[in-house]
Amino acid sequence: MNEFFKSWHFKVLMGIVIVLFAFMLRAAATGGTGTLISQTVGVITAPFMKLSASVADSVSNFAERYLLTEKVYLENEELKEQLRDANEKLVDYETIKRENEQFREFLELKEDNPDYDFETAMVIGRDATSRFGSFTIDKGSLAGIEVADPVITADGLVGIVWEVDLTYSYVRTVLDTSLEVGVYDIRTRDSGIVTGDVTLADDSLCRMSYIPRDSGASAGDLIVTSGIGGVFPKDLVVGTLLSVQPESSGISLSATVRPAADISGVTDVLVIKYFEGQGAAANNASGASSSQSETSSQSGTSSQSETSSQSGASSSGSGASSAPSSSAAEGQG
Amino acid sequence: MNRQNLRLFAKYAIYVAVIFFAYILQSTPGLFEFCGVKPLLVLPACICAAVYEGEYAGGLLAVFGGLLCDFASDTIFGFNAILFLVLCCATGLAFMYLVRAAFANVMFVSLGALFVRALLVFAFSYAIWGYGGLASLFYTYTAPSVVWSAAFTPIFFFIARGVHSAFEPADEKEAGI
Repeated sequence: MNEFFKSWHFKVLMGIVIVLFAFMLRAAATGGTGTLISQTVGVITAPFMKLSASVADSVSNFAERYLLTEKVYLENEELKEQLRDANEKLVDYETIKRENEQFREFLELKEDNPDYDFETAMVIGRDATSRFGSFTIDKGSLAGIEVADPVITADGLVGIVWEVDLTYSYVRTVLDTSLEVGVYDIRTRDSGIVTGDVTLADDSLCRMSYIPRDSGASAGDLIVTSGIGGVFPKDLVVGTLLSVQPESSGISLSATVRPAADISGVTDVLVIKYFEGQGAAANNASGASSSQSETSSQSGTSSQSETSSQSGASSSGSGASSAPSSSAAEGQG
Repeated sequence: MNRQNLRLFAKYAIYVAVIFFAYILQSTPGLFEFCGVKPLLVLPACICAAVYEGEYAGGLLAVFGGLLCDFASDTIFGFNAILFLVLCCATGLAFMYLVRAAFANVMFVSLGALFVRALLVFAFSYAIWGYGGLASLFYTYTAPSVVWSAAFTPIFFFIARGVHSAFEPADEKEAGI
């Protein structure tokens, strides 16, 4: 075996390790990939991944239609029951009905929000090692997508664009612990922050924290984005509350949230490239000399003007953008 | 390019194609997902290649596979490439000097390599950040993903053995055996 360590094979491999280590240091320093190698790999693999995803979708749809009839039947029954509950509530709350309809239909969403600039995208890759449902979409900076653009479906918020390359982008979902979204309860108007939770992510659930202790929030309440911070548009459906419980600190409540969008099963998404007020807080923060308008994303209890560390970032001319070094957050309304 | 080099080129092109195909299958949404766990196919493929092709060729193939994984992973770019290189080099050396290339040995080494990678990812992605419920995460996600990934090793083992035996005469001539 000593022969190997003296051979030129060993020297070549060590050289590769050093080069890779240098790339790794650069990636760590810049907060993302953005290297020539990663871009080249991305350009080569993206079309294959797209083809593979299409084939897998077709097979999956076929199987679900013909082989999983029992599951579909049970799901149908469950949906009917949910529909009955929803109808009862909708009769009493006409306002919620209108807003639900708006958020659940993409076309209506677009009509009601003419300032939105959408880009449709297909999920072409799932990170096999990610617990939080991160995925790759088939659109990148060539399609005008930038870092920190919100990603949604007709059902609601999915996540945020984390890295952008020429022909693909990497999306982190609301299940991710590094994402924080400012939200409010549409019934009680109580605000809070939705973020991922390692244990809840297994069931595709996330957590809403910092709900005021005297809040009347309860299971079944619909929560939407607050829009403060300029990372996400206002009133995007995030999900529904499953349960509300006091936080361990005792000063506020937290709730378990079921995202409205099917995070783990989503195959097609919409990327909002522009909306009115996008990056507003970041712009305000950059214009103001006071540091009060910019606070850490981790201090969600008190900040009123938190913004994403990404909101100011955009794709570079080279076609690659770096992921932010800290978590993305939006203010608590 | 003479016939000998052509055969070598064809052999490594097949290995590259197999690793690339494993990567595509691994990243396809919903494919091979079982109880919320997705398998890591590229590492077993690289390990099996290293078993038959030795530490040098195996290491280079591992770098290729690692870079592919780095592309679709939220770990730091280069992490998988370096880790795969080290694991596959060690595997190549072990099977050259210490262990016989039997199916059970390959399974055991593949399981070990997957476990080492899973431990490192678990440590860097979750443990050092102090998240709650880590034990549950390990038993319900990390450990099952290792086992589920290792379950695909036989496929790559037989592919690597087939490719190696198909091109073996050319290698022997080149080595002057």
